[in-house]
Amino acid sequence: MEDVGDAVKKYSGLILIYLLLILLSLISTAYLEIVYYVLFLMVISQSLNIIMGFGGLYNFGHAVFIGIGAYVFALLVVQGLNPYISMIAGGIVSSAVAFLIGIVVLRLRGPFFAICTLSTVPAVKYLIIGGKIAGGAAGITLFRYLGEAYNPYMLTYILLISSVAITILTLKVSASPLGYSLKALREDHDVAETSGVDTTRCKIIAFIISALFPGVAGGVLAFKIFWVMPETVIDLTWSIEAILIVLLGGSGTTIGPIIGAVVYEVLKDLLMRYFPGLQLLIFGLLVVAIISVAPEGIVGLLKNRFKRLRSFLI
Amino acid sequence: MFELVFQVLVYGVIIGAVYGLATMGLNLIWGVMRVVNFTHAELLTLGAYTAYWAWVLIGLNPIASIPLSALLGFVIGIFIFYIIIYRLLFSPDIHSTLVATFALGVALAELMKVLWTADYRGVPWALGVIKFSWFSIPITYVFTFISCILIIIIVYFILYRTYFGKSIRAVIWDSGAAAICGVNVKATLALGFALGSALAFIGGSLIVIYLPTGINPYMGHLYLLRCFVIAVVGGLGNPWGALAGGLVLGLLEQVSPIVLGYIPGVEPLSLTPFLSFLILIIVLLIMPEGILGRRR
Repeated sequence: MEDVGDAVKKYSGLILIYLLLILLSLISTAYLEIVYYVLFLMVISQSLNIIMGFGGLYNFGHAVFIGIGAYVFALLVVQGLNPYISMIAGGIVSSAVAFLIGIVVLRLRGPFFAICTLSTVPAVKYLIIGGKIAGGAAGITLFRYLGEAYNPYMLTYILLISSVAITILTLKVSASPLGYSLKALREDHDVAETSGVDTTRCKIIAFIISALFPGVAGGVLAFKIFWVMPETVIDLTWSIEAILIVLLGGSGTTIGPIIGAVVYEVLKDLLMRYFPGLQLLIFGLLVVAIISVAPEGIVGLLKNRFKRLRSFLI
Repeated sequence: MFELVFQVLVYGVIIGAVYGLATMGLNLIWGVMRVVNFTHAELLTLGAYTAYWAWVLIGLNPIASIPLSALLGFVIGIFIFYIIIYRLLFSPDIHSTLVATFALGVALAELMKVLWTADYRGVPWALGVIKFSWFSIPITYVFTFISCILIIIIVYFILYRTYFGKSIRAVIWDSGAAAICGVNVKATLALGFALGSALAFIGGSLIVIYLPTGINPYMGHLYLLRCFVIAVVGGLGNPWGALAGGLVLGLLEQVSPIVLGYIPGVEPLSLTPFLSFLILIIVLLIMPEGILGRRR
């Protein structure tokens, strides 16, 4: 029993946030909508955190995984498959694609990795439009297949489960040999390699893990908007938001992206209300400010300011 | 068939020269300070808007507005360097400049949207067409090509015949040794960044001529991919590599729609960016120094 007590105490920050989100989602449908967005952002930023926070690899192409998940989901649903199974299939296919992309792209380092991953977003988008794959630029409309099965609570709770799963995964990874290897190669790639870390293998595994849940989230997104088209589901904005949230919360911590997603969504809502149309402008400048002034994000600031909170900020 | 091949080659070379000029700044900045300037595409868009507003407000054609847009680019480059880049140059995380310039690019694109709306705009500048018996070309394209060559000569002159250019090349070679020899590295970095930004602006102003109705705040997304392909194909850090890369991409963009047109069931124009991405990956894996290597 003592172990359970310790665990609850240790993870109380995480548990508190999740409980609050569940409570909020039950109050009213307006809150449910907000919780849905928070959880969506949480899933994509937490998964990015595994490769970006621990491995130090800035993947600007995270949006591709969402797009692949959405497309696989749409293609399977059109075939008549159960939407929830299709979501999981989307995640798995997204991981498989991450493996294929990773073999090529993860050989590159630093800015070259960033250039290539950033370029994957337009590349995949134009491959779909230009190759007229899955409907080309017009995409696939899903209302016909999913209109009756739509249930906003179900979608939100799938994201919640994904988010909890990825939190547990992150905790496991950060305390595992894989996590230490990733942190080592974040600090110094060459030293890690000479110390016997199989860097390529580590990076590919982390890349695959980080692609799984965005794939599932892509399916949820497609379910939510009933329409899969290149311009909306393979959107660079997802990449930007994921990177922003990881930096805002605190890169390389488990709770960082969770806090980051909540703060980001609240900020975005406020900005939309008071400065409509200016959100991305302000967020772009915010990232510049964070990276110049507080590169460790909110978690880093809290850790320095409140020593007693330290044990909760994992 | 011969006419088509000739037309494609000429258009490819002309557009390639503009692309090369537009990417030179990216290469220069990477060479001088090891920063991949993700804002480059937005600077280019700003250059395009400069040409547009010069046309609408003062009546200058895009080529006549080059000095104006170069000056603007230079000033904005100095600002960006001192406010954002310089303090991040020596940060322990090598990615911080990358993320900061990327975020700045997003913010600039949004700023342009707020200021000038997301409408598609264009400069309807036309001077007629030169016709040969088997081939024709707009006169504006000829002027563009000539001004490209002139600007490249000016850049060559700046880099190889002035003290500033010498110090830039010294910093590219070895910034520590340059500092020991009395080069003011900080000022050189600032001027290098400003020169790169001015080149992006000029490139943007010239690209306007090919885009009858294509100027909008988000045009940078596609040009960023193009710039990366050009920079990597030519070899990052080598300003002349950008020209070679530009020619490769210019020709590819002219040839591939025609070739892809033979494949049934595809949209050749949209598939071209994907092809250029493949080239980016292949070049990075096989010859990461680019087709020209790291010549200085």
